Amino acid sequence: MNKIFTIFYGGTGIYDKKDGFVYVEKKEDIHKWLSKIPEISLIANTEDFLIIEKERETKTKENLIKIINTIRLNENNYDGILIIHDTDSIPTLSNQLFWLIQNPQKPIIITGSNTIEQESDLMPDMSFKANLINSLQVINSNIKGVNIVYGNRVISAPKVHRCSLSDLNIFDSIDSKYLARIDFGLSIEKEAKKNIGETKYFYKMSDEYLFLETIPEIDILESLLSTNNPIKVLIFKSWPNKIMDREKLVKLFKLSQESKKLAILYSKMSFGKSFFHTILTISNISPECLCAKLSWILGQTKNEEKIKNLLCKNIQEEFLQ
Amino acid sequence: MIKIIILLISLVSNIFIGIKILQKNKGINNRANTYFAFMCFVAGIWTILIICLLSTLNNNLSIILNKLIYSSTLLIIMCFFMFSIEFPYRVFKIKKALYYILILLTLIIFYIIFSPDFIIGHYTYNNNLYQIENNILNLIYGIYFIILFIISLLIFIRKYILAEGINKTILKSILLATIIPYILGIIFAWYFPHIGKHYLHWLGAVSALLMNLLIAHLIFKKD
Repeated sequence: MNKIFTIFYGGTGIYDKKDGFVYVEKKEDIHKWLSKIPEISLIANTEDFLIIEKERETKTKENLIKIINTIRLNENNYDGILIIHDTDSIPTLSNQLFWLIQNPQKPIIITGSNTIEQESDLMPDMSFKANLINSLQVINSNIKGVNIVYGNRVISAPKVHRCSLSDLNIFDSIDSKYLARIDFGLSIEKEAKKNIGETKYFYKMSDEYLFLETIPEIDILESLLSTNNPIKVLIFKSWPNKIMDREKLVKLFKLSQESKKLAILYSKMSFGKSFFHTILTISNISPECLCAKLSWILGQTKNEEKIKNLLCKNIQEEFLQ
Repeated sequence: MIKIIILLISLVSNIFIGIKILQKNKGINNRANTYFAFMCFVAGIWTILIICLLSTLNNNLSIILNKLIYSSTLLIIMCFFMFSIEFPYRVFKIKKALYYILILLTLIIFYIIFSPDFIIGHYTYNNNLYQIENNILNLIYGIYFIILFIISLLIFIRKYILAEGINKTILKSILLATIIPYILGIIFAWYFPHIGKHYLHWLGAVSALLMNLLIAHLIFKKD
């Protein structure tokens, strides 16, 4: 039976008609929580765990380092790592881990309970038990890397995208390609198991960037790109069906040159227009992955050229082919 | 001729689904898939044996084929029983003693099938040669088969009740894909021969075609 290390980092709400919601907030909760899913003990050995519950929403950076340290310390002693987390922040956490633990030799699976607040009641996630069981089966199948299991999909972290508030599948892949599907057992894709190098752990990351859904008015741009502002990189989302104001683009370029801040135009799909030598454009990558990549790059270097090079380089096959 | 064509389609579907399920096992040790694939292959052998039986008028060969047909259906239900335990995951531990009892009982049924008393006569109907089985021994065989089928079904129903989310959906599909073909199989391949209407036994193998269609839908549908 495979040995699995479990990290409880929110998203543990399991529903039972008798006891209502059962959460893991401290060590003592584990026994009751596990008793709600007795099948787990028949699939894997899940005796060892880490609980991050206190200040999990405020101390995200510290918690992230704690998770990386725990994985680094335990990776060789276990067949896989299971992280249970709030579904809302699964895309962010999975991408952060994807960049901070590069090429893990063991499966790191993230799943969670999608409990939704409706008026004053909490709506239980009836998929959670299945997701937990399926996560253990994915670990048993040794699909390496940081991946998400939810519904009938196993999704690679850089491709994950929230597509529904509440459903059998609340995540999809931005290119509709999945590492595996849960239908008649597990249907694993060929590329799911390939190993692309040595494991690297990183602890430095930086939040000196800002992701904006649009290019704001010029006065806001001036304030954002002023030298007093600690933000080093600004990402502006470019909408495929929206014509960009040329005046704003010129101003953006000038201000970024003056303040020596990096301005990036981002689009999920490729740009039809080239902004070469003026504004850096990034596309064919999920916004969560781009932010996590940028955070990782800014943790490694402050050199603008290096940042640009690393941003455009396909380091971990994060760009869609 | 039409019977042979339908049986050949059923044979191809059995082999195809068996291979597809086995391919899913690449790199992972999924015992449920192995049992199901094996069940499909044995169902394929069963179909071949029925085709041979429909094509022969040699009594000695017909007796051997008939015994092999009963043996193959016994293997099919054994695989289905094991599959019900393993698919999609185990929900209870099974004591080894239970496996030994099951193997022993199955060996006894094999002994009954291959005993000279199992087939007591023959007759021809519509240019086909049919064997007449000993009613009591055939009843023992049938009861054993039906008991294994009901236990497997109860295991699946229990799993279905306990399951949630996508696993509940998958279990529902498996239940739908197996209940009707198995019931039809029991009716055509065992019950009708048991009451003397052997000429309908080939329809039992055709019911596997229905199961394969439903399983194929589960495997190949996109979400």
